[in-house]
Amino acid sequence: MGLLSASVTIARYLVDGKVKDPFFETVQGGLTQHSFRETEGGGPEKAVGWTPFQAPFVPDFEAHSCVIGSHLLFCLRIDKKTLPPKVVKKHVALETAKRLRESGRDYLAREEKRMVREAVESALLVRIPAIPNLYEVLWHYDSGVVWFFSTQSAAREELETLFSRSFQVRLISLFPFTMADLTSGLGPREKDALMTLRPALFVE
Amino acid sequence: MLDVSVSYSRYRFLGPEFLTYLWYLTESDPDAVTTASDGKVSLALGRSIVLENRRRDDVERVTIKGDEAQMDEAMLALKKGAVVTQMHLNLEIGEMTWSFSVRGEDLAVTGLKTPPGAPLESPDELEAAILDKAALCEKPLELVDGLFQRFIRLRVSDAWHGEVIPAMRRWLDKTPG
Repeated sequence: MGLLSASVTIARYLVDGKVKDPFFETVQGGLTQHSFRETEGGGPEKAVGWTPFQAPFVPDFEAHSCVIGSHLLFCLRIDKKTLPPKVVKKHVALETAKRLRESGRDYLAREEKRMVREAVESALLVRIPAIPNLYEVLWHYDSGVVWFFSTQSAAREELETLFSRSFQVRLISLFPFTMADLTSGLGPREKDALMTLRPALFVE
Repeated sequence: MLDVSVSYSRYRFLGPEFLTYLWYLTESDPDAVTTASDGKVSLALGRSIVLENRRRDDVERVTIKGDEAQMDEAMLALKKGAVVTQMHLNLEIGEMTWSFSVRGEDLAVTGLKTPPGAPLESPDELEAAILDKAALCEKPLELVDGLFQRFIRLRVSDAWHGEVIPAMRRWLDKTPG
């Protein structure tokens, strides 16, 4: 549900800290260093990296600027290989039958079964393509607010980790308490009161 | 500042309280949201609302979708002690209309539909379209932030228990449901 979609989803963050000067060079360097690397073939189960908004499948930040007005717009790309359980089950059964036939035994030990499953999964992971998922990131660099166009927990965790690794600043998720504490302009006494709040009862 | 995960859990009641207060505000004091200077502003409960009642050992969740008559069921849940955990809202500013849902847990906006922005007819117009859409998305977020600031200032003040809670109870008592 990205920015230009008909239906948009936005979770917000506050950038905690100052990006090292010169700002744009630091950001460009972080995006390039942690840009997405393809994982086809024998790559890992999951790959994560930045891609340009304009060309999410050709991650070249030299060719595509992410600066748009007072915003930076780019994508978090997460490619994941997911093995269908029924396919795994079929290949485990085939491999088990083959090993039993070759060894002349009636059953495999628990450890052997585990090794068969791991070998099957490794072989299948090499053969299947990873499924790409794109999540847009809009960074309002004047205000230090980041919009992430997804509320999926797994994607948000990847964003927080990669953002910190790329730009050496932390993202603070904005939810009611952090909004109250950090962006609502409460004074010291009001913040003290905030810490002592307990759930209210709207009915007697 | 408290650890983020600790504060998320310890104060997770704030979001549902805010949405419950927001429902009360849109019905009992609609002028509270008509503060923008660039035209008439109105905010109203939209086509769905989700409530949760955690006052017992288990969590009772009520999801209401539909017209005003069915909102009576939501009001009934509220009267039984539930709070709003997600609500769909319609925002009008002048001639323009936004619709979106707000989640209590993080005040994330989902399903946001904005007024039409600048048309994107060629790649050269991409930047203008992005800026235009970002500005359109900003409006409901600004409004929610402004209303949340109003809520949280009240919530940490003596007026919350002295004025707001009694007023909300009177609203609940007189509203059918």
